[in-house]
Amino acid sequence: MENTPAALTVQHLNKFYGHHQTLFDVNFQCQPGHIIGLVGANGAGKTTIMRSILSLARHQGQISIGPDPVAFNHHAALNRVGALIESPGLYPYLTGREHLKLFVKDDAQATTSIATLINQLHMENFIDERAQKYSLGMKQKLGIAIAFLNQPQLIILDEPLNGLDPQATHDLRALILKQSAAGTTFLISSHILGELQRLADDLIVIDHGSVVKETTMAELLAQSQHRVQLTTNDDDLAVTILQAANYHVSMGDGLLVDITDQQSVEKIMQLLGDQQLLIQDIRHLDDDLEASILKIIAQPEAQHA
Amino acid sequence: MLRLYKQEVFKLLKKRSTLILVVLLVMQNIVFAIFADVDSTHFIPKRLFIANFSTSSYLTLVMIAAAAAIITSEFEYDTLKNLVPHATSRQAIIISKWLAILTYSLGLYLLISLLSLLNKFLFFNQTFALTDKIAGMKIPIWQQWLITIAGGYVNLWLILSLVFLIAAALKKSSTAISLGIVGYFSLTIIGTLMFQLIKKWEFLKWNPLNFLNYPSQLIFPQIVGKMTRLSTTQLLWGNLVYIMIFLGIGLYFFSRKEA
Repeated sequence: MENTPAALTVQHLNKFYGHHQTLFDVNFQCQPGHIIGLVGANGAGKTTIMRSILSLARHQGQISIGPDPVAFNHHAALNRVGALIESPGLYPYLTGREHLKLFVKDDAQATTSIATLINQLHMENFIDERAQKYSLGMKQKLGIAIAFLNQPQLIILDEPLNGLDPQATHDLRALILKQSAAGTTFLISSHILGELQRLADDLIVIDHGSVVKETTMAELLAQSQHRVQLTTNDDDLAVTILQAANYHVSMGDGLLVDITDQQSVEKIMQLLGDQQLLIQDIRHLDDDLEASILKIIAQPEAQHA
Repeated sequence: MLRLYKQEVFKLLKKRSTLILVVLLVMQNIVFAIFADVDSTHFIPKRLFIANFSTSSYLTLVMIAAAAAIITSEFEYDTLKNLVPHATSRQAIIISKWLAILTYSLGLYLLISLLSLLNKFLFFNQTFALTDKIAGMKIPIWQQWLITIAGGYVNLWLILSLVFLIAAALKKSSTAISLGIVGYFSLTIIGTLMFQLIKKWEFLKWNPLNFLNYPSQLIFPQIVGKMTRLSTTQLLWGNLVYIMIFLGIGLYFFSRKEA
């Protein structure tokens, strides 16, 4: 595994617009077959990073696809990359199918792979209409289909869920997971963190043009705050008991109790049960990805430490 | 590069305007032939035939629009971001566009030339022969026709190379088309003034507008040569050098564009 080169390597990436710097020494790697979420606030630099990788924007630093470096004007390695950046760029006078024919590599599987993609993304109803008649969601689906053409080794998707309905979101999720299982690497930026939580193996958090956290999804969620919400027949007594046992307790809609490996739910129930307190309701209130990301962005220096 | 070239030709063929403009050019060519057949006093068949029934002029306007659009539409539709990752470099993209326009222009020139020849045999078979000579001319009509086509084609590319340059530099179709058309008609507008200036300051004979006289000088080498102060060979090489310079500058601008 150590000998396998990363699907994407970004080293010391800096981006300037005139004298204004927007990316600051960005470094990260994407392992083959992984789904990597690129998250951050609006204007954090996610799209600029993706545009730099795709040689759409000038930059300083080194970017490699597998072992092959890419530069602003020498980027043969990008032939193995599919991408959807911002809104899909479409020719209004071409139909969806003509777009796919335009970009598909001319091989024996071309027609089959186009038909499969049309089917997987449920585009049959509009694929032969001109793109000028497309809705936002139709354009987005076509942009995604173009990104998936030619079995790329790396697929870069910038806000791929824009304009997609629930069915299309489900279709895209299924397609990403299938391709990932087949070895395709994904770099995905999305503000819909719930969806990213369901997909991503790894996470790169960007804030103000810098990487503030590079981790796995499992690690991030494991580090997040876990709480339970309790309702008992005597909440005041319950607070006293739990605080005496060094639990962090706050009052909200019921009792909010922080739990850790040592201070587990079982021990809470045992403590309260020993005092004959009746637990009427208990619910887990774990931080989700959104809360975890917001905490990281709120305290970037702490994460660097 | 071959894949990029095929993509450009595919897009060109799929544009409705491509087919519509070809149909309009064909109709114009035939209508002018009919005019000459009906009223040969005002529409002189021999002269119209040599000028491809005036279709070469309209064709130049069509090609100016096509050359501008093939570059600027990528910025307008935000589609350059699809092309760049599929190409080895931006230079390969713009060269594929030049080649597509070269193919389009050659195809159109061939089409209207063959159509003009067909018109000649359909409408004017009894009126004149290709081996006839127009009064005052030393060469037969067929030769004059071919020379006019060749000279016009060289001049077309002088204009198109300028359009490519402006389109790549400014990314605006309207500006590229406007300046291309102004360039095309500038000789008619300021030709006399330019010749007076060349007479006064000879170095001005090297200005690119003077090289638009190439087709005229091919037909009337003595008369036009006295005004351009250049030999016909110099005019040909000048055209080619200016085309290379304009394309080279356009290539430089395009290769620096972010998508």
